[in-house]
Amino acid sequence: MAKKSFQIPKWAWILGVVVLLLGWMVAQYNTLVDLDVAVENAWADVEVQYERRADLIPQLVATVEGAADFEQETLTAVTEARTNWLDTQADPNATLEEQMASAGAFDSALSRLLVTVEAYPTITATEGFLTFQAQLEGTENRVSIAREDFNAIASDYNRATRKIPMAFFANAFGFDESPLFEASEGTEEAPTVEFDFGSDDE
Amino acid sequence: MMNNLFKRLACCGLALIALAPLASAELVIPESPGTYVLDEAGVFSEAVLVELESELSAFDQETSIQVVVVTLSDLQGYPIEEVSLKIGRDWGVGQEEFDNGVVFLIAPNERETRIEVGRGLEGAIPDATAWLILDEAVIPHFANSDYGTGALEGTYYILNLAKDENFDLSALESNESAFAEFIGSFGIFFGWFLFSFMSQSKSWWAGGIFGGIIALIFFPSIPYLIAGVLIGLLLDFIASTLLYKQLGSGGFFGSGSSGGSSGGFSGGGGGFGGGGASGRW
Repeated sequence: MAKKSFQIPKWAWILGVVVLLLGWMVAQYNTLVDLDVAVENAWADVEVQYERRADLIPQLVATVEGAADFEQETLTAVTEARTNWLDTQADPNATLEEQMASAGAFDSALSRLLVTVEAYPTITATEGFLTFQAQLEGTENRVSIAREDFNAIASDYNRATRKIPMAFFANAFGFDESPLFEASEGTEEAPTVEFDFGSDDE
Repeated sequence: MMNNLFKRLACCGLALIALAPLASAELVIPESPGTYVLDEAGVFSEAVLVELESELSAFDQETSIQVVVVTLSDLQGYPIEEVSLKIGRDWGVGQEEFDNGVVFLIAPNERETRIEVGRGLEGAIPDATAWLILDEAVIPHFANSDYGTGALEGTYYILNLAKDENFDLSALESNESAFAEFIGSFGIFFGWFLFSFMSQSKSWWAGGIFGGIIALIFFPSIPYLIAGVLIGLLLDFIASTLLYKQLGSGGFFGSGSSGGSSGGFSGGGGGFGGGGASGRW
């Protein structure tokens, strides 16, 4: 007389496997959402910092304009780049790539202006300009950090969504690859000398 | 011929060795020292060190705002902004809830200094003000190689500005202790209960059911459910097989040690976004 041992029925095994599989898929999907939200947040921070810079530009232009024989082109270039960035940002149809392109144009126009300003001691010598310059430097620093942070977070996202098995979910649910900022002046790892003053669109 | 090849190889090797430091130029900063002052460059006198440390430690106890003063002998060719940011973020200066940290970095050899302001203090210490502190109170002393006085003066202004920013400390404390208490009592109670119950039985599947139920009650989502089942199974397995004989009626869990905050620096995980100002002399 063999002792009848308790057997787990077949349907329970199947149910168990299905539940585990479903749970795993949900976990994968939720991870994707977390990564995606992190990228969105990083982008929002980038926008905040560019906004902050855009707010400073009118004061910069007003300060510099007064100086005798100041090159007007660099000033108008900055004003235009600022307007262009504000427009692109406000445009709901603008893609992330387009926004990055206008941000990049803003960067190079402004850095050209700042380099030009250095050559005018009548501007830079005033006490008011020095504190203003501190503000401007702080903003530039924040912009570059926000860009680096965005790139780091977006790279994490891109790496995760391209790896198997996450890549299947990313494809199925339409999680596209995120664009990255290209390294431009001020955003390299260790910029000791600034070679490039936006000569790309002369 | 052989000789020639040898020479070339040697040349290549030398060139590689010469280039190596460039290629591996990853920024390395010191570990968090457990104090509010790290004088790696060795420019402060003992009296200055003691005064800064006690001042900053007391300020943290009182306001939860963490200010660290760091001197480095070498910035490794990096802009000071990157170094101070890395210190702030890696050490977690400031509380995570408030981002209320400040890093006052001094690089005597590069003749550069920076006040890196955490996100939560950017209102209290705007960039222009940080720059003014450096320009008026700090750099004149540094230019005379009087690093102690410059650091003390700068710190004095930083603390004076920062203390006007009020952070809701009660939220911070009650939050922390209530959560820790909850987890602690919950864990100990259930752990004791489950272990003593399950080690009475030789079967090991009951733990899975328990784990699943607990997960469903507290974290009603499928990944947690699975995790709960697995952890329950594992715990019961351990309890049933390993502890069945050893665990009679006696308790298994000792009381956890509660860590009180001492006077030393321990980063709270504050965030930095690049606020502050740099200066050179």
